[in-house]
Amino acid sequence: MSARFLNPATAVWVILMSATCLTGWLAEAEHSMRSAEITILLIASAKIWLIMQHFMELKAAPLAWRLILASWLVMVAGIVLSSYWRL
Amino acid sequence: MSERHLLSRLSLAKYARLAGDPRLKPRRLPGDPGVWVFVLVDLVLFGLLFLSYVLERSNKVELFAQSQRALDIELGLTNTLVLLTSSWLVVLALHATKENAQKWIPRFLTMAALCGAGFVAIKIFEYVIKFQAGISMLTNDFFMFYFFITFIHFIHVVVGTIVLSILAGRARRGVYHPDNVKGIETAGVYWHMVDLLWVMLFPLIYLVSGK
Repeated sequence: MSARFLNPATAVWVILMSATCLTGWLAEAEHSMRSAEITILLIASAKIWLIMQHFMELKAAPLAWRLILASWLVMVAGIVLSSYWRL
Repeated sequence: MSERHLLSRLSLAKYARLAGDPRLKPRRLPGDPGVWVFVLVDLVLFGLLFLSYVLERSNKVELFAQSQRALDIELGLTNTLVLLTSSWLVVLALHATKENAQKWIPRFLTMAALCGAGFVAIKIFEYVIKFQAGISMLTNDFFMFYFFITFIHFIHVVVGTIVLSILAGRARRGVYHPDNVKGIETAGVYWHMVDLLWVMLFPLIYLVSGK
């Protein structure tokens, strides 16, 4: 039975679950709100990249599709982080 | 690099591909190509929703931050864990199909569908709590966005859960095997997209204030 769960995707799932718990912890930490928020959004972006690469099998997909989805992620990360961009 | 050298490298690569070198496997998109077009359109749609949320928030930072405190972070966090687990179970179902582990394909798909149903139940519970507290889409701009964006995503989860349940039923009848993985791959690509959208939607709407 356990062999069915022994899969590279399981390692990715463990990382994703841990990153989510870390996000929950950061959200509760009151201190340095701004840096905590930026970290939370960067973690979310990294999680999305892991899902794309390993769950959607983008790592074995044609280069054009990898570039399209990577550009979407960069744009979305840029959008959600733009609020913190102050000179 | 000389022409001759290049030619010999190319024929080596061709030979390695014929010999099944995994590093030179032809690149491919899993599932039906149509689902990828759908994914792209949906990603752009949600990208625009995120953009309009951030733009609207920049004018009403305090209102958004204050309204956000009424949301239940624990429920949102639980739903993130549930959806990530569901996505992972679909990957396991796909691997079981490729290895022809027949009894595991419906098991993984059923567990994935149950996670989807769990997400739906938690989200309905969350909406009911909001309505009971007198909060609706008309309360203010923040809640307009909250209900609109989370509801569109909610519909995606409902559809995905139904699809996974149907696949689980078909898998029980032995429809899927190493030569027929496309249905599970296609549903998987859609389901992972629903998952990754929530992964950004949750922190953006529930956790960060943009201050």
